[in-house]
Amino acid sequence: MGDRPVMVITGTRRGLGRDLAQHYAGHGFEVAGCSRGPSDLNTPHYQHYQLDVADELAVQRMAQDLRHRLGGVDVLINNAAIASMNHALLTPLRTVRSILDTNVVGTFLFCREFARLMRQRDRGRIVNFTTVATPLNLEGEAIYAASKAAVESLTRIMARELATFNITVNAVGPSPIQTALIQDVPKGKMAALLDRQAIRRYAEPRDVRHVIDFFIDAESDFVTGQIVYLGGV
Amino acid sequence: MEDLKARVLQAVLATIDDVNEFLPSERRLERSATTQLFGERGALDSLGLVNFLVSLEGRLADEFGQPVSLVDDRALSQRASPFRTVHSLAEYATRLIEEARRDG
Repeated sequence: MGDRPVMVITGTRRGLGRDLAQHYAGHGFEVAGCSRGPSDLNTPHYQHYQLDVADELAVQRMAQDLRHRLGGVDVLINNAAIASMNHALLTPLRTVRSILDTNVVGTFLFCREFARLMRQRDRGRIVNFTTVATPLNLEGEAIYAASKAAVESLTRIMARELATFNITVNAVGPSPIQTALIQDVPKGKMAALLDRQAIRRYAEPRDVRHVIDFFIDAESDFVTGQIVYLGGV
Repeated sequence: MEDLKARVLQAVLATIDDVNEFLPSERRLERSATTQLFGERGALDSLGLVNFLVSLEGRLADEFGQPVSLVDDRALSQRASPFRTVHSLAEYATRLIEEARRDG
C-alpha cells in the first residue's frame, strides 16, 4: 500500500469494471472495487467490497473503511450500471426503479461520499460513465439513456460544485463493447448502431482506459465537466 | 443528555478550528457558542457553510460512530435556520443524534 494512489471502481465483478480493476491494480494503484456479488478477482493491490451501490449506509461504511485503512481516495471511477433494452410501453416500473437506483442514485452516492474524502486532501478525480445511447436517442433504451442523461447532468454540475476543492468530474461515454451488458441485444441492432459511429467497430477496454487515463492525469487539472464519447458519436 | 450536548458542542468548536486553518486571518471564526455562522450577520457565505457542515458531519460521524446528515428538508424549512449560530447548530445536531438513537 503506502505511496500507491487509491482508486475506487464500482461494478468490478465482471465486464469492463473487472478489466479496469485488474489493469489499474497492476499499474501502480491500490484498487478498491465493489459489486453486489463476490468477486473472483484475486490480484495483489485489489480489495473487494460486496455492496449495492444505491445502499447509502453501505457506501458510507466503505468510504469510512477506506479512510481508516488507506487514508483517503484519489480517484473514483463510477462504472457500475445496469441496462435493460425494452420498448417504453413494455417497461415495468420495477425495472425503471432498479436502473435509476444503480445508475443515478449509485453514481450520486459514490460522488458524494468519496468527494468528501477527496476534499480533505484538497484534490481528486472522478470519472463517471455515460453511453452513446444518450446522444443517439436509441429506441428501446429510454430508461437506460435517461438514467445516463442524469449522470451527464450530475457530472457537469458537480464539476462546478467540486472545483473549489480541486476535484475534477468528467464522464466517458463508450460506444458498444462486447460485454455482458449487450449480450442479449440482437446482432442486427448492434450492426445498425455501429453504423452510426464515425469509426465502425466495437470499442475495446483499452479505448475506455485511454480516456480515463487522460481524465485522471495530474496534468488534467484544468479539464472538468467534460463528456467524451467514443467512436465519433 | 447534557453530556451529549457538550460533546456535540465540542465537535462544532473543533470544526471552527478545522475551518479557520484555511481562512485568512480577517475572516476567521471566533471559537464561541455565540458566534454567528450564517445569515444576515453570519461569517460564512453559502460555500463556506457547505464546507463547515461537511467537516462537522465528518467529526460527528467519528465521534458517535454513525453518519449524521445535517441538511434535510426540515433544516431548510425552519423559519429560524438551525445554522445561524454555533449554539443553534449544536442544539440542532444534538436533537438529530438523539432521534437517530431513539429510532435506531
